[in-house]
Amino acid sequence: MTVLRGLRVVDMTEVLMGPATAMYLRLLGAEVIRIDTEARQRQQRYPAFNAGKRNAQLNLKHPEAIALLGRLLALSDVCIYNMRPASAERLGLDYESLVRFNPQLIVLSESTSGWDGPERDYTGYAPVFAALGGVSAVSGYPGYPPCDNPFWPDIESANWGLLALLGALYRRDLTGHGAFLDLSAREALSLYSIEGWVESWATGQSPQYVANARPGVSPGGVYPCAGDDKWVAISITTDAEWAALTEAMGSPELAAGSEFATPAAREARREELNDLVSSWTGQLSVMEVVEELQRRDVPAAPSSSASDLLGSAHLWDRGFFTVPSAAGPNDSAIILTPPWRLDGVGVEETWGIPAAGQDNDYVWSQLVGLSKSDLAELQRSGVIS
Amino acid sequence: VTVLEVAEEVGGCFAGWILARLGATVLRVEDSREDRGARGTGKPLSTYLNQGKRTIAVDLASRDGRSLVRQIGSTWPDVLLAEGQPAFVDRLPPYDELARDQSRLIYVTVTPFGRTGSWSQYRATSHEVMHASGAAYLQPSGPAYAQHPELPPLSWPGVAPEVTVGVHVAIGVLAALIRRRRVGRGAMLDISKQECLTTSVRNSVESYARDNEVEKRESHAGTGRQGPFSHYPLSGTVRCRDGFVTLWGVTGFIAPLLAWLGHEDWFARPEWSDDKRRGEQADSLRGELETEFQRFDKETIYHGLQRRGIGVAPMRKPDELFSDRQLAARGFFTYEPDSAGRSVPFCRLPFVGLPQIVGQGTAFHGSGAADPVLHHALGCSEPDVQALVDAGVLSVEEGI
Repeated sequence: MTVLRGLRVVDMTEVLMGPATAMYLRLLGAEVIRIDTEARQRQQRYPAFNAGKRNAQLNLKHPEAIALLGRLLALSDVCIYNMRPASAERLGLDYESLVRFNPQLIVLSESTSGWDGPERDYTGYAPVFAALGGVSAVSGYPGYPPCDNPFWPDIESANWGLLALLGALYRRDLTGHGAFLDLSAREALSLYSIEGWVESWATGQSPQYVANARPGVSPGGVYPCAGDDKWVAISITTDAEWAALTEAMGSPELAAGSEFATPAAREARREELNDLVSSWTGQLSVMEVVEELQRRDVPAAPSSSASDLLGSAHLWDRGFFTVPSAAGPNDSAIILTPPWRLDGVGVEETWGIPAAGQDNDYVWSQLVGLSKSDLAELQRSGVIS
Repeated sequence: VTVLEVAEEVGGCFAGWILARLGATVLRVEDSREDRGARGTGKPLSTYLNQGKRTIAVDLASRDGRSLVRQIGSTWPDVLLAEGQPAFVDRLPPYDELARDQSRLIYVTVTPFGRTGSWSQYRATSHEVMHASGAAYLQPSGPAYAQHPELPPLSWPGVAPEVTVGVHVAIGVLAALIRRRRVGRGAMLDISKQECLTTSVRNSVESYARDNEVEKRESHAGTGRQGPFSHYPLSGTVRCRDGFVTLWGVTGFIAPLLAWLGHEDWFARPEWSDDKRRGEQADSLRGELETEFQRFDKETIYHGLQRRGIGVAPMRKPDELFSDRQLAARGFFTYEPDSAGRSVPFCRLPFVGLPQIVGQGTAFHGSGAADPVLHHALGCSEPDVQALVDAGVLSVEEGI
């Protein structure tokens, strides 16, 4: 039993954010029909986000497309798109138009700024969401410009879209009501700077972030290890952790002496301590440091690259990665399972990345009920293309 | 939906905050011996995230304290949310024990690396988890960092990693609630903070699995020369008169950008008009752009270029969100007085279309020992609650 088996989702999304939300619905067991064109398929940069979805073509700019889409939506539960509200309105995808096809439909719009307000049609990508959300201005190293924060804000916004959808599905189970969910990605990212704006409201001062350093944590940060670009993250907040670290370093006298005896003293001499820790970690491999410290109950972990993650026995043992058995030449070699795995949630055996229009027959003939000749005519006239 | 939240750090606390916004009744149990993380008594963020929750404090290391949590957990909640270090979660009654009495219970554990696997007992703050996830390895990002690959990987700022965790926990709870309606039974959810954060950079991990090329910080620099930004030449952070903007676009944005700057003629120059050359000479062109942007403040650039369809944004500081006209127009913050008459910025979830409980009524925990929700959760009346308080087994927060 999968959570959303029997649910049908029409996915009209592009780039990263929208496809990611729809991907999670597929991982939860829903049937996801991606509406595509050959041009959009060629531009697809993140094919793994479409794994396991069906793919049907429809040229949404064609005047006859909306009626055909409506016939599909009448048989569906959820519709997702991530485009500017003005573009959605131009294509006839506003909620008032779509709900006529299916009163119980749940429509999720993911956009930069939402459907209201003076900036509703401003455009954006992940770095725009992070900049407007107050995240980028406080990211980066002192003395350098702020970070751009690409990609991850798209996926975080997608998570909020999924949360809204699951909330609406739960509510529909209880009440029978559909919904129009209007997600603003800049609002989503505003919650990642919540500490900053809450503290500035409460105390009149925003917290100052200094790279990997944190108040009350010393030594603490990221330290170089043997090898190319290998780093270990360590946090010392208590006297016991400090004593354990000095023991691991082979310098217990540091803990015994008075100069670093208290957290305040260690914080005051942060740079000096960082040098001492770095000179120890630099002699060892990152996992030697991690294991030495974790054995002593000290928080420590490698700063992992994608390659490190795929080499992690821990993650493989937990089933976090899945290898699709029926992958084609353009398919993803692995798929990450969701971090909230329930019984039956996950990747099914045949989990390829669909080609544009590979499910045209299934969607437009079997589901919607077009005859073969009607389908051929709509393909010829460019409605299905 | 009733939620028993036993959370040590911000991630679990944030998940409870989301569920409370969506209408759940949340009873938060704090460890009376702890004074760290989300409990961090007096910290503005923990106070903020406890809006709308009932809160009690018990000694989770004592027999009486654990017995009380077991008593509540086996009868009252739909969801038991246990978040913290492995040793903290180990102190709570296990799922099997509670599910014997309540098969519909959804029991969620949230730990740094999950409850199974060789790292399951590893301790980690959100800093270690962030680095272990692969997300820090791609930071710092931006053109200024392209020449500095020696800088170490960098965590996201503040509690951002814990916010990610909280969102995934709330998603897991909602998925489990939907499943419970269909199959009639609860579930055990084992959520790893590391996996929550790795999911945020899943495109990088999946790309590596396909192409065998590791994305690094310098390939996230937006130089237009390499990595995933090769199709975004000139994109990235640009300094302007009063700060920074981030500028994003593909080929089509150059002509309108130059037109807005009053330099349409530059487009005739091969290095500006040709994709390949623009990538090759990105550093010098960025210098020209930065000189031009010095004429303007970030808000002028933002509105001027956005009206031409260009993806640009001012890098706003967190406290500048309160004066963001778009957030104001959409009612993202609503302001109401607290018990001291001070205006509190209540914040809704980042979407509209579902009922949310925001503002009036969320600022107070209830009415202490007289709170009927507490009587229901504990299965006893006000005098019995008071007796537990008097015996030192629990303390009841009166409100914020």
